[in-house]
Amino acid sequence: MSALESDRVEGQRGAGPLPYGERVEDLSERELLLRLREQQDGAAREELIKRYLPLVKSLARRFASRGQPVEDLVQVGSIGLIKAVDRFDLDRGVELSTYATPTIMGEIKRYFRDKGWAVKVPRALQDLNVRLNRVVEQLTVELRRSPTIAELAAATEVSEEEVVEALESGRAYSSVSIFSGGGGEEDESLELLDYLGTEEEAYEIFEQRRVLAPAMARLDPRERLILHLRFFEGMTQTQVATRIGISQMHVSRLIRKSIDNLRQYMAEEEALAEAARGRGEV
Amino acid sequence: MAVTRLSAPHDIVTLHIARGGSALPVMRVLMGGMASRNDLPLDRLDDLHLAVETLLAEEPESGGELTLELSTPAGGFRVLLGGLVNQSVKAALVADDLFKPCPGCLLDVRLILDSLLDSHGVVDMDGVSFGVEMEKRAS
Repeated sequence: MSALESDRVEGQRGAGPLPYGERVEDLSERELLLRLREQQDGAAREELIKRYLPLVKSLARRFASRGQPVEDLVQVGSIGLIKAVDRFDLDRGVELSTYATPTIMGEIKRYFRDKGWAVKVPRALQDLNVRLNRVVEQLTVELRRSPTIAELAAATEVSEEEVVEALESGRAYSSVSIFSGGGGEEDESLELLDYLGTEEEAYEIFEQRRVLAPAMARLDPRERLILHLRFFEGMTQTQVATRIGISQMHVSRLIRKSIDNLRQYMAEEEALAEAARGRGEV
Repeated sequence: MAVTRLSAPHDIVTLHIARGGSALPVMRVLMGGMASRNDLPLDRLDDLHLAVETLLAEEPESGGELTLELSTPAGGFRVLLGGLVNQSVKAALVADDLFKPCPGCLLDVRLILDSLLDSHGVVDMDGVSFGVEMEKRAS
């Protein structure tokens, strides 16, 4: 088959219904990516993920000696793979594997970071952490400022050391609790509408300051708003919490999650630039 | 951003720790303990935590030692994170131009530290590594 014919066939199989008797398993990676981009073809997406699972397993095994089951790492790495497949841009001129590797690694590393040292947190500390979330909110209202550790210890009738430990142990759970709590969605939407103009300006500043506007686009609107209020309006976490209608500890978690996302985006971009340099494209 | 040298701090704690996964949680707990002696509100302590996390995220994950010196001068909390080697971060933190980008950094460390801290500054340590001194007032 000539190159011209090959391109024509790829174009046909990369878009529209598959010819009779053809299966997604028979398509090339590029054809699958075309189908995913042009038609949001779920079967093509699944096939891509299936083909790259061995890469996830291989990367997960590199972390096998760090005390976490490899199966768990494969699960976490798979999330990175799905993100990579969904975000991959065919026009970048790089292989999907080049793009997916740092994303998968990033997801696995983030998992270790979230787990930290407190892999097994005693039940009492977990309970104290939950209580502290509530008490911080109550005391912030009463005192009209963020409470100190001594004040938290007095309010929960435990030692200051236990408060410090419970706060630290809470970080292990930040990834699961990140979407819980918070104020009403309608209130948030109104707040976001108020800020749309200002947000545009914030993106420009972010661009100037090289925190990268494209990376900001990966955050959800609430996260963008929180970063804007904290880093450009100069509000404290407690002020941001009051403004958005969520707890200060939740603001803290969302700031970290947003910054982690921005950092991961930058790492991926850096890896891509490095790959392009290796091929002499830059 | 200038750092005022503080005289006669009340408590000084210095931690020497190898780089790696457990360094950050240990630092956070230590900072929490010291903050409780100085009535530092939780949101201000969290800003300090985030500043330290931001600096460490730009560093190699292994190899060598980090130091953390904590002191609690009246009305404030001072953290000196030492053993840092990312010279791009150092250049960004000492640059006169606030809007100078930070090539070689994942994020704009200067912007983040400016927002989180009352003051910060770079301290030369041994000619190879450097430290970042950070201060946060209690109120």
